[in-house]
Amino acid sequence: MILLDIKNLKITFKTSSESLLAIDSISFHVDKGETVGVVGETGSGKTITSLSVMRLLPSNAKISGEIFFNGSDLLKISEKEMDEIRGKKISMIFQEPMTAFDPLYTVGTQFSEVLFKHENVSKLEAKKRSVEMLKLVGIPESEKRFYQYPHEYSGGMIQRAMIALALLTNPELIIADEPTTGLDVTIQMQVLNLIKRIQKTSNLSILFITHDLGVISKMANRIIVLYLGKIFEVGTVKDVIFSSIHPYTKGLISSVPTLKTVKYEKLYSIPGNVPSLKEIGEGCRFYSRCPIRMNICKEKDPQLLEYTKGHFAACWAANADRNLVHSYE
Amino acid sequence: MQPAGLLMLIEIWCILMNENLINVDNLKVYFPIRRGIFLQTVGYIKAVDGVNLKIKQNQDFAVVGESGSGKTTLGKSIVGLIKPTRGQILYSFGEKSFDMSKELPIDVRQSVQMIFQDPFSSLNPRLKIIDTLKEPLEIRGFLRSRKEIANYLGELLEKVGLKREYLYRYPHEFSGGQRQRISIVRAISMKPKIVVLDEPSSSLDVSVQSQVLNLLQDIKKEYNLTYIFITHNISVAKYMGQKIIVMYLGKIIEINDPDKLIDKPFHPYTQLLLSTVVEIKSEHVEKEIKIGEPPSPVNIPSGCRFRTRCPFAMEICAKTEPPLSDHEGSLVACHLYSNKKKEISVNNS
Amino acid sequence: MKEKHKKIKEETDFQRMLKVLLKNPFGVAGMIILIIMYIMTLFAQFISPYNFTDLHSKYTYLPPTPVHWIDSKGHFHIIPFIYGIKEERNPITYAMEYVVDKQDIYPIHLFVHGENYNFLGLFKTNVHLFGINPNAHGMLALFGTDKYGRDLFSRTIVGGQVSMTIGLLGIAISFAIGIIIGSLSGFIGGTFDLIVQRLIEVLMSFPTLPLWLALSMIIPPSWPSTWVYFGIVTVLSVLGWTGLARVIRGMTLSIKEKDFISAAKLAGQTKLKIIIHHILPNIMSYIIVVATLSIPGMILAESAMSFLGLGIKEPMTSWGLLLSDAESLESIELHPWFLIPGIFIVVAVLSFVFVGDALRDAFDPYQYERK
Repeated sequence: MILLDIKNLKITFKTSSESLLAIDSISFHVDKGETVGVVGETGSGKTITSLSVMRLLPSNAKISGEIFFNGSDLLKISEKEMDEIRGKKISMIFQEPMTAFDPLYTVGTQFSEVLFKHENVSKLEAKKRSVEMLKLVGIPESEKRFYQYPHEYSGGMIQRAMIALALLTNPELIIADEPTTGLDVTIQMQVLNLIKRIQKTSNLSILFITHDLGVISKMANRIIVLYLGKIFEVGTVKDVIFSSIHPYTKGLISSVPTLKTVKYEKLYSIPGNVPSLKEIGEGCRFYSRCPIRMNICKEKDPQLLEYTKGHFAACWAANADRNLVHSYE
Repeated sequence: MQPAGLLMLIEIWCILMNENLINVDNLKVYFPIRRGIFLQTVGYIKAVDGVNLKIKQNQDFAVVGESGSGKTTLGKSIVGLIKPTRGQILYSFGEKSFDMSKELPIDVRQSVQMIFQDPFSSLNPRLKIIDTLKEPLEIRGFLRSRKEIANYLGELLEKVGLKREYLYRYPHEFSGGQRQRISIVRAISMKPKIVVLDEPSSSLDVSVQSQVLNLLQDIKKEYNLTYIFITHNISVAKYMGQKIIVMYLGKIIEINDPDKLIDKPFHPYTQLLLSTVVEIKSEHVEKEIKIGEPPSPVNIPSGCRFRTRCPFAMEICAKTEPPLSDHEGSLVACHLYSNKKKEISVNNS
Repeated sequence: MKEKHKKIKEETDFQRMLKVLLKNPFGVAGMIILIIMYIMTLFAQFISPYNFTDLHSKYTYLPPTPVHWIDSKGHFHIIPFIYGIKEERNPITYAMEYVVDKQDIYPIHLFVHGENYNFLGLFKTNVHLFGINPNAHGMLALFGTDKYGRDLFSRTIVGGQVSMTIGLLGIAISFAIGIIIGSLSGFIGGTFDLIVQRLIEVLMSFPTLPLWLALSMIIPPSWPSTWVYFGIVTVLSVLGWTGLARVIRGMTLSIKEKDFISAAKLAGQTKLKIIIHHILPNIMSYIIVVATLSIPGMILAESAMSFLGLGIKEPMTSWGLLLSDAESLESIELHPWFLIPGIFIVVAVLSFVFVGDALRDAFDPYQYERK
């Protein structure tokens, strides 16, 4: 069953001198209980996509398309209705936990605040549920921790508290924006395991945004590869990581050093830098860095086509040797 | 050529190759915690707490550890940015040796360099690239005219894959990867012998990260550099180092060759670190590992500092701190192995 | 090739700042007002129709003279004119009153010869920008006159010389002190920093008014007025540098942690050169903003001191001193034009604030860090 369904989402940023197409008609869906991973580098638009779902984009952004959540279009409902969905049905986990907490109030106050806002609960019940949630994410002495300020938590603990905060209202969808980037590997493992464990028990859907392919291969059911506001490849983890079609996906995977990387052998690397949105021309936006580019790539933007069931990619070179017609979504 | 002559050549070469560059002798770096109006010292953050290390020419070390393990502090002490609280860092330059925390002659000073993690803070935003890059050359005074300097720097820029005309631009015109390359040029322009790299690729995009790592490997060969590569990513450490040093709460707890360390980690902490690496895999085995959190570097546990998280903690661990000792070719600081050694020696006698 | 590099530089640094600056209407307005004000103070004696010290005993407490284009007969004059003034005894109160003599028409001429003065201290002249016939039965007192019949317009403009420059000069001195002490304190740190910070706190915790009182007592009354002026500047800057030094110290501390400072140290750069080459240029924009925003404080301080009779003394004048004529409610009621110098203070202070705000926006590092 589909929970979140994004159709033809286009986001343009207007500055005084120009308008930049940050997201260029992307479509994807998230099923109930599924984790969809969004991989992308700087400028891919992964964070913008998540903010558009929360309707938290800055005022100079123009959105078109549809974002269906439980059947209703989030872009059409009123601000008041959105307020009820945001933070209750959909919540977010950020990279920087300190941005989620106000340093001036105790963690407990901030937890209760969220419950008061979305649910009609008594003070005592709010505390009970908050403490339970803190316990669930593995914070020891959660009764005592309830009364502490964010700065009294350690790095790993505050990260877990933020996850607890996101889970407090039993949301249906969690958007996790690089939740473990910059964490130590040990804490990262804890956080990832925690998210997985909770998801299993509560049939939660997660939109997991990251640039770390290892993390995404652990967490996601399906992966979306974004590059400069366009989807390059979609499919299950197995499809995208182990039989990738798009040269960009392949390049990304082989450029990450792993424990098995042989020393003295050159790491694969995609040549060049991620271009800026201004430099995108008519054709495929990967053209300038692509190792297998062809003439057509410069002229026409490739479509997302289905190669095996549920595995889509947008590449002329891959397209050339197959006869496939199913277009994506 | 005569075989004897050849042998001698190889021997000389070996000696040259393994010349001792830096001796870190019982290094301790404590940062005082100050409170009150007159900033009385109320305690110490023990960032580095007794590290001994010999850095030889062409033997790259990769230092791994969690945040708070003191790896960056160690790196900064080696280049002389942080003064040791106790112990010293001696740097052999030619025949003489120098204390890194003292005032150094300029050619000695410039032969130990560092490349920093954050490419957005490593270049002065107010200066054109050429003005940033020429500063060390002017201090050293080995190139006279402006033209000579521009030529030299332009060549170096081309070497790291940038364009000559970038010299006349400002840092904000460059991406993170490009800035990191410029930082590399600044370091190598001084013809250093040792370069400490503090997570130089961790804030870069995935596709740019591997470019920078490759570049660093090429540069190393060309300029005969010795790297001390600080990272939290063991996979990167394996790629960049000839030996991996694992640090925990300001102490070295294991040193070994990358392959051996990854194949067979001895210290329980190394084992823990390796088990938490998230690799690109199709099947991730779900196992709950007891990870715990490092204690604060203000209150370091008695005895072995890892014992509070160690699954094998024994009685002795709370009493005495295990020394770094040889075990099957690896240097480990753990009572698990020193005990065994004793047993063996007892058996032998 | 060189041409091209030059172009890039200008576009990135200066032009962008100017662009942002010019987009701020308040900032632009403030800047224009300040420029006009400074030009006026520079040519104060030339612009003012009378010497600011000259007494006109016939015309004491004269209200502002209205300027006309159309005379009583309905004729239009191209050159604006004023009416002459007659003194008459009020038939009821028997008080002397000024009565407008509509028969006497004195056109306002440009470059009239009037009283002698020293033009910019260069040469003696008697040419004034505008004025009326010096032998006229009347006075061109645009802002009225005071109790000695001195032209308030001339006095306000000349008073601006003190009020507008005292801020600049005071800031210049306190900045010199603030930059040196602040950046050293931030960069060296340790005991030096500790001592400096405590010293600043002690200085800051003195109540300013009594301190001014005490310090201005030191200035001997026998000093010539220019000495007094510099004495006041010194008093203001001795107290003013503390805040600036703190701000600069704070900025130095944050820049000091940047990696490019470490890189400069590794290159063997000396401490002094690191401060001059790397730290100061990076905080200079903030310094300019803070400076601009602290000038109003200096202007107000001078006004307050002069108002209380602790600052500038006669025969020199300043806006604060002029305002002291309006110290009683009675005086304001009878001679509301005495408040005009106060309007100048408000306008000048607001202009500085607007310009400071505009500069802050223009210098905002986020404008050109990572677009």
